[in-house]
Amino acid sequence: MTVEGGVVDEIGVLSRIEALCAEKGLRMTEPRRVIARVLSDSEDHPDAEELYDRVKAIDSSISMATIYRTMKLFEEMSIVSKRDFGDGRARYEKQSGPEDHHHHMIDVQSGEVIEFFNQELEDLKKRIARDLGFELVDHHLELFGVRLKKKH
Amino acid sequence: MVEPNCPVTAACHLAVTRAYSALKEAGADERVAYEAAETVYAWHHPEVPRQRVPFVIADWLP
Repeated sequence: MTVEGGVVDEIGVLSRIEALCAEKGLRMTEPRRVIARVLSDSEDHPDAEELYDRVKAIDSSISMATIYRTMKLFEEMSIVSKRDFGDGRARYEKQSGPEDHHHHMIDVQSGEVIEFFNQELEDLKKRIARDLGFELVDHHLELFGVRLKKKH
Repeated sequence: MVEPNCPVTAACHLAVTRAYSALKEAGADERVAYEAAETVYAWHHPEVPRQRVPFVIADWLP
């Protein structure tokens, strides 16, 4: 195939990934096809979270779990190689609306999630940002804990 | 996936899936819910390297 222009190039790269999957007998579901396409289009080395962000822009129904399962499968089948740059996991950013702003307290023992809002905390965060020379535009907070034993 | 030296307990599985689904139902971002589920799992199984955790719980979550 003569590669002239982005479209042909994109198809060529995508075909290579899909051909690898077919060669190894991997059934191509739609999520796998989308993930393979995003991987093909990536010129950097995206981690699972970056991959999720890019995949989400194409198909928002694909979950983080699907990304991790697919990457694990692709790696086990030598379709992709995992690289460790020693920088740990990428952290995420969350989009939140001001109208229903709240945080979460998560019971690590049971998985129970309790929503809470604390004005004192909100004021403190704004003050910290301001003291550091910023206007706070977004943040999120999850607290993890175990329930205190009741006193008898 | 089950870690060889880390038996899955019902409490751990329940807590991980519950935290994830509760956060999703509360409108949390997918990444926030997933990270929370990872933290819950890591609390139950501190012996599992943290980088492996997202791959372990991927088999439990939708």
